[in-house]
Amino acid sequence: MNTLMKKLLLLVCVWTPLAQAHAVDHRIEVSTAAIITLNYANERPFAHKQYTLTPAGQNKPMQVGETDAQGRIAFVPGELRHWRLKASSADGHGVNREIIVPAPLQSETALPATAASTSDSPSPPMQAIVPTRLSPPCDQPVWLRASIGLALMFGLFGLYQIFLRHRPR
Amino acid sequence: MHIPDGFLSPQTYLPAAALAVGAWAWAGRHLRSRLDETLIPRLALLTALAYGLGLVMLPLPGGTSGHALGVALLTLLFGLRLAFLAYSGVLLLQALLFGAGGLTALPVNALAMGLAGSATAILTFKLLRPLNESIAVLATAWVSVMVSGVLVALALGIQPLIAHQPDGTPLFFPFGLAITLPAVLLPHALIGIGEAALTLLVWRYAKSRKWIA
Repeated sequence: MNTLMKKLLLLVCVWTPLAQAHAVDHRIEVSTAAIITLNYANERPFAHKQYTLTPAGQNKPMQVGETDAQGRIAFVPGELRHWRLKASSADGHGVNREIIVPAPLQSETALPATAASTSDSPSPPMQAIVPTRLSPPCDQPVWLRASIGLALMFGLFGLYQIFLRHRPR
Repeated sequence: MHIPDGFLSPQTYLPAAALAVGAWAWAGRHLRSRLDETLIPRLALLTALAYGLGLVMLPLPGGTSGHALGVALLTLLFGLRLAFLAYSGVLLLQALLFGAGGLTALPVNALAMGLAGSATAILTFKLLRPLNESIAVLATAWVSVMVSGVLVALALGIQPLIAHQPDGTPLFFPFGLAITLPAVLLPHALIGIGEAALTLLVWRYAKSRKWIA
């Protein structure tokens, strides 16, 4: 093998792995993810809308994307519990608030221990996925909240009516 | 159409709050002389209707949903000041109980839907009433919804311009005016038609009961 061939072989050996560096590889890993479900008040999913997930107190988002057809966002929070979720549609619907990922999802190492039913650990079974629903400020059923609103409204108007009736003329 | 918390920058909601406080004070002046015992039950009923209308989400093309306002109805029956005050109360309850609209965004929502919607209703009705009263009522409700929609879309659409990180990433609401204006106005052009029909229905009932001159 002459010198030129040796150099060419060396070049090919060095260059080829570098060329492969542009490829996008993938890996599938079964792990613990948090799933956030977003929906309109009438239960319709907040589907295919932009969102960003940023660790609380930081500026750079950890995850940016679009909710799926069911209005869901799946992400791996790792050890971080406090996140800021921004999700919006162009017509002004959406959320921009801090969320707290439930504690069981913090420790990915806990999952295999839970999966192993023979474990002697006294800890309760851990869910692999805990849905975190972004609820309105009041968690009561819609009919109850609507009724509370009506009661407050009629109550205030009623009080004003009583005030008018008893005011000195 | 309610803007939730976290979508508006302080540069937007703080001046709006100052403006809204002034507007609420103005609307509340001489309330006792304008709100007598016969008016209160009707105002309570129609305010409750506006509250209910805001809670009925209508599915719209494109996967979104919207709702009627009832501002024009309140305005035609009770005038600008009472309508503005009543609708502000509706917005407050919807924000507190349903998360429909936020507390920081309340002044913007109240100014856009309550005050501007009501003022537009008054102007449109005065302009068109000499031509045909029914058409004037229909147009009043539709234009009122659309003007409120324009203001809400403007408030949202300017956010990327006035509140962003040094690299241009929006801090609050990510969509500009070119997106928010059609996104808000096209669905509400449809909603406005339904609201116009409902407003005319209630208007005629109110006239038949001699609630309005």
